[in-house]
Amino acid sequence: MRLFTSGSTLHKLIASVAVLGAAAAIAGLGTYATFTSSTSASHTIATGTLTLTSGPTNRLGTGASLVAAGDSMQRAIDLNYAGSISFGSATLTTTASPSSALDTDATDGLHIVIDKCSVAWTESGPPYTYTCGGSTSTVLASSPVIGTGTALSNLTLTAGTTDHLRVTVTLPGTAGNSLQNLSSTIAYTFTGVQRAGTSQ
Amino acid sequence: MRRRAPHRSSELRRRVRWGAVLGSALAAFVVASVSFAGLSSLASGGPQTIITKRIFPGPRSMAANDVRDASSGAESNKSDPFSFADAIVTPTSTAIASGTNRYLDFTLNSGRPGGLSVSSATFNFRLASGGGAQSGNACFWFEVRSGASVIGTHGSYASATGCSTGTTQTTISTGIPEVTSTDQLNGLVVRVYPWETGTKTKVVNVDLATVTGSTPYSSFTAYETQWVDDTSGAPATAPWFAATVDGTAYTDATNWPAAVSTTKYLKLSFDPSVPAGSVVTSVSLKNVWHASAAVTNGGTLCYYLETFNGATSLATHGSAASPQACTASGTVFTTDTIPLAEVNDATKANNLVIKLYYWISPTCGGGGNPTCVKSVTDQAEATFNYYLD
Repeated sequence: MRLFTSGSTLHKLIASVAVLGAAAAIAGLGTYATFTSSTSASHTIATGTLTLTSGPTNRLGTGASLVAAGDSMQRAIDLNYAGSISFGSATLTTTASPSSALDTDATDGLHIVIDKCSVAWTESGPPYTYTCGGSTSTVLASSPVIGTGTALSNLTLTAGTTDHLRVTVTLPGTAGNSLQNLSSTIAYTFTGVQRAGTSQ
Repeated sequence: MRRRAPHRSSELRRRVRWGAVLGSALAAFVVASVSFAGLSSLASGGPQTIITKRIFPGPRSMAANDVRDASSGAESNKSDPFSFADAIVTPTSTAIASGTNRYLDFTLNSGRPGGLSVSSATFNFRLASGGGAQSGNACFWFEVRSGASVIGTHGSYASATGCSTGTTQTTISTGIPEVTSTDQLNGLVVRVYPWETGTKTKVVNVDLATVTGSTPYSSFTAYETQWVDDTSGAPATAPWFAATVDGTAYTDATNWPAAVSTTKYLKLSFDPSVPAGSVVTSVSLKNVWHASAAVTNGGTLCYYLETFNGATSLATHGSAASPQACTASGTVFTTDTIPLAEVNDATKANNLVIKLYYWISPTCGGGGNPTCVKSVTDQAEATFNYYLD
């Protein structure tokens, strides 16, 4: 029978813990990509901020009634990118409560299109319609009104700027009589995510 | 050398190993969290409530089911024989006994907006024995068909839905709760199995075959657009002349006059059941017609029309000096679609009556003049465009 001394066993185990700890530390250091020296110099690392807000234009709370097949509803909303870090991407999540076939019928139910204007939209109405005095681009091509994490394109996303969006919700002309006399309430959530990490 | 007790050494190793495992896991979690984490922010819009109209805009077409012929100067009832309880009855082609499985099919019109719920749907059938020696009563049972499917059966040869007594016309109204929507109602087919109970079987006279009921916004009567008589065993289809362009036409009773007379006309009435409060965006009349024979010597058969809200005149379209349309043909149908802008609300739509004043221009009869002719009408249909907010 081979016997280990308590000292040799303890050394081996301590060595194992040290190796794992070192591995974790190296991994962590690698992630931060930050080196420190052994001098007495020091520096402060402060995280940035990132805030997405809407307004002052936000007509998305304005509903529509007496909608017929082929009707469209235009509503403007400004997305403001604030903070010290720019955004890398933005998505849209829409939900319905109460829900009806207007939002569950992905073919003949409500569809959404989002356009961006390089300057603030010029509003007329109600019923609201918008014209763009600058250039327009497509943020979201026609899609069923309900979606989760739908990617948005052509947004500025730069901290300190604003994107002027026009949301157009349409009940397709193909909507049949089964979509008469229904009601859906749609909630919109825009999510902005920070830019990719960079060397600092 | 002092040895430590083996069990204490084993316990220590186990604790240290667990420590190593937990430490590794913690390190991995920290690394992963730092790697995947990112800042995000939300902005919201809405809620936005969207409500659709109760009835979508759309055209609803309906044939004139009430037709009066005053070509002689006196009105004669030439209405659809199955639309009203009146003196106009239609006998089955063949005497029919119980148990033959021979039928009458009634196809109803499609004049109501789709997608509406239907309540209190009722089939109204009025019948009587054709009478004669050893005749009895007229009885029936029926099926309700939507599309190609039987959606309801009411009665049987063993248990009649209803019977008349002898030759006295009797209306039997039977609930058909299986009809729950206007999608089913439009184009519904009711297949009636009639029989006569006499010891010597007779024909059955049918006076009425309609379906009545309600949508959430109005009551309605659905009229037949064609019927099929299979009592002989060989189905014979008979469309209502005004319903479709199909060659089944109505020729008025008397030659039209040589000059316009407002006492000589064809009168058309409609029952579109437009819900109160509807926005009527347009109404039009489609009149498909020609002369009963070629009009000779340069003459033409002409007409203009007058619309009424019940008995109240609304407007005229054309005049004696400026006909709505003319034709000299005795074979080629002319199709006129005439907008009736004056019919602009539900009341006027539901009470719409149209008189067509025909005459032969410039004159007719007598040597060298155009021949006097009748009119032949293949379709007389009104289309009502409306919606309900």
